[in-house]
Amino acid sequence: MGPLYPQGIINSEFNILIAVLIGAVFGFILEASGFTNTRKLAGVFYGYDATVIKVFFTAAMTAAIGLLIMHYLGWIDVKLTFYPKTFWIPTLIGGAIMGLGFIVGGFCPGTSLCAAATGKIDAVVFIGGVMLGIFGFIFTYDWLFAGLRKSGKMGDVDIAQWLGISDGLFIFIMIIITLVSFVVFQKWQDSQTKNMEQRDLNELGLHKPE
Amino acid sequence: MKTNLKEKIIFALLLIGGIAAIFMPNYKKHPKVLRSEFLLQELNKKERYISADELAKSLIEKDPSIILIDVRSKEDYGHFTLDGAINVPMEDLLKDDYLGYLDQDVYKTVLFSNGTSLADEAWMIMKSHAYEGNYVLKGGLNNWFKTIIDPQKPSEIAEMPEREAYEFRRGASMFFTGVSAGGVGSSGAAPKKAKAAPRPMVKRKKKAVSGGCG
Amino acid sequence: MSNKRKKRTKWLKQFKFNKRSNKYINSYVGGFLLGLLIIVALYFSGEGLGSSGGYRDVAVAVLDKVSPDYAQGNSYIGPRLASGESPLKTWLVFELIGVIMGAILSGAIFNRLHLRIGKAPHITNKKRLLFAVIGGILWGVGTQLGRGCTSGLVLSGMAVNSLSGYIGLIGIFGFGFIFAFIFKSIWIKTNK
Repeated sequence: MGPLYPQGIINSEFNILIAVLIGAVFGFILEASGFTNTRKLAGVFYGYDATVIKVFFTAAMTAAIGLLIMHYLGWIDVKLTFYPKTFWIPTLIGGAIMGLGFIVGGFCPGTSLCAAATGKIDAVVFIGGVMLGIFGFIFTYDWLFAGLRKSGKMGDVDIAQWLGISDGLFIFIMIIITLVSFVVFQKWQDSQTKNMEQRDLNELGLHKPE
Repeated sequence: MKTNLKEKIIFALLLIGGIAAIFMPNYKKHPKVLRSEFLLQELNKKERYISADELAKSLIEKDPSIILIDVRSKEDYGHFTLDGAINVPMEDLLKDDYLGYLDQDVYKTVLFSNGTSLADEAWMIMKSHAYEGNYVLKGGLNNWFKTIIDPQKPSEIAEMPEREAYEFRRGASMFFTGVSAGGVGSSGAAPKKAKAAPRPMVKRKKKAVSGGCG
Repeated sequence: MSNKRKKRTKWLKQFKFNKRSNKYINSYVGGFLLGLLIIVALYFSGEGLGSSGGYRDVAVAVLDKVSPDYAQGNSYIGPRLASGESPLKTWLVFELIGVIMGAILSGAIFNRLHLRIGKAPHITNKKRLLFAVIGGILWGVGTQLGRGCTSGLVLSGMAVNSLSGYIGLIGIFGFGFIFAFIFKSIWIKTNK
């Protein structure tokens, strides 16, 4: 059965249409959840706004469960779909660079696009920066990044099997961690927002804890 | 933590889903063998082919992303091959030694044999292991000599594109052999001359080190 | 009479208050829908939601337009131009076009389409824009080195249980918390 396009069940025109539609829903959810608000995004790192953790982990875990169930029912072959190959060294270093970029810039590439679309000037500038960074990477690739980007190659690695447990058990453990983190981050948010003025919180779409 | 009904439902779904997940079977361990229907479909696509003209153009331009892989036997490789080609005989195809060339998404690996079919088989085997970035030289070495090294002059009434192609091939032939195309008499003589002639090496590795992005 | 008037001003006040506050959908509902969307994307197109890949495709297209020889000879992006198809004709680029439309739609519905600079109140506009461009450059390099961003690498990677996604998660959020501590003054007013 699935995925449909890689197996030629739907044609490329339909696939493009799907891409636009999925993108539209993606953009809508990000905007409606408040991901165009750079203070909300940064808030997760300082505890005053747990939105990012809530949205992000609910999404990842919902998808992880759904895919495993669909795999069990034979509806989708996950190995024919998008599956990031693991190159642990560049991903960890790149991740750290992105983490720094998140704190300094206040966006990630997806959220900045939504924010720019809704008129945030800082997001437009941020996107300009991303493009500059990509051009810089391309220009310096051969003598700076080529070796590093290809180092630490591990292939298609499933984290559960890498840890030596079943996929389902791993997802279960992650869900427990997720639910606990929801409680922790909510508590943190409550403690941080308790002393803030409601006027400041309005911009974040939050309310003081009772 | 204050939660409303929507949130409670989502938490419950996550928890139930998580518990159900424990009893679900694993994703397959070595999943890199693709399904036959998918393979068949890929095989019917012609995107894997690169024509002799395209390859010649890339080699003349010293495209750093091209790697040539000769999939014929060691003897054939020793007898004659394209400059800069790496020999990966069919039986060694899946050895780890060559994984860096064959399973990657950075280079454009061009497989070739005498004709198309052996290289095609090699491509198929690699595709079934989901190796990426591999292409097949259409027509193989035979066609390479016919079109690039010893191009046939088109008839007087030929269309413009054909004449242009011929002009390009004559230039390419000179580039690869150091001899004007008209001077190469029989195609049988071409390989020997070609081998001795100064031709561009695909200095992929050296390029990567010395760099220079300009 | 006065009682009625009081009621009216109270109602008005509330209206004003609502207009000033940002209404966002419930975070868990948003996340749940996003999770379903990831499944839909994988089921139909076999693609993970992403964005940095689309940015790269745009960069490749620009370079190919400005200097085709350089672009095709570059060992990082050259292979992407090998097929002869436009580098913009990728799933991610079309998805990003959709993202822009969806964000504008949501912004219109929730009355958030305004030109403005988002920042912490104590930071000047100039500083905020400078930080935004620096942050952007870091993301540009980081995504290419790390093979994806928060949506493509981490979110979609976690959905398919890939090790890569979790390494990205540790990279971005793990290091994010460390850097957040160092650069606290960008977002939090410190009493100095």
